Amino acid sequence: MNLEDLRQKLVRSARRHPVSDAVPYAFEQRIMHAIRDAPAQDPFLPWVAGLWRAALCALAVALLSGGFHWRELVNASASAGDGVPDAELLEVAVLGDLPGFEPADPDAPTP
Amino acid sequence: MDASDTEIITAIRGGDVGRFEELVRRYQPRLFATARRYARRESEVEDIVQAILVRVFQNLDSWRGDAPFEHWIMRIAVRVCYDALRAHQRNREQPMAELSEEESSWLENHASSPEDRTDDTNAARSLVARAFEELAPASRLILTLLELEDRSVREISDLTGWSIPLVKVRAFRARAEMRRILTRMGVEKYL
Repeated sequence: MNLEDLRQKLVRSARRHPVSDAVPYAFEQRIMHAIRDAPAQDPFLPWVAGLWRAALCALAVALLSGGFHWRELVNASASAGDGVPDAELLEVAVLGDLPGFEPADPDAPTP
Repeated sequence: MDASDTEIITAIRGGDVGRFEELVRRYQPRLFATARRYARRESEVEDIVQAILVRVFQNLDSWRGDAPFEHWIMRIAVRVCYDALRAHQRNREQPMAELSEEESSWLENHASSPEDRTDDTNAARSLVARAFEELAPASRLILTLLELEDRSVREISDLTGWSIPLVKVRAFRARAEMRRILTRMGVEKYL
């Protein structure tokens, strides 16, 4: 007999040992007191977990699409040979679609 | 004639909270039997069953009646028991003790014999309980449902919310984990 056979035999034997379904005296009274004393469940609680998951997924998608967009710009800039710095490309990749965004003028004098 | 679950729940939703006691009386034996598979002591069993029934009451509005109420309440029970197992994980009590005389005797008598004997299930239950105490919560839950309660993979998937492939993978890992624990308990020398 190997260890797995012994394990299965052990479990089959344990299964035959009945588990008690005995209930303590007046347990239902305890439950009725507990439900009366329990605080009302926050109706927004089920939404919280879902919204957190959605926020994490949205962040992951934003990072991935930003990274992809930046890579595309880097590749395009490398093939054009314009030598645009990576930081500027990253700025355009992440913020480019925002309304009112203007990329910094590379020729403007630094303050 | 006893009222059906649906009739009682309709009454509770209508404001007759006292009717919940009927549901408690109807399902508490089954919930106690379930909780006893996971708790470390009797006082913990009562706390687990209380947590199950309070959660059932608080979520009664979400039972839509498309599955039997019994399935729905057992789903909540399994999840509360799983939470209790994870709480145990953070509060481990004591290291593994040596095998008792009864347990050693069971292993001596059964390890080399291929037939299943029906005597001395108490020693087997004790050995399994000790091994299960050492399992990770998910492993213990899977093996309890699959091997002690003899549920199908589909039922376990429904009770736990895990996908069927995940149940199968966890079952495979749980069995391997239990074999390692039995090795640490020293049962191999009886083979």
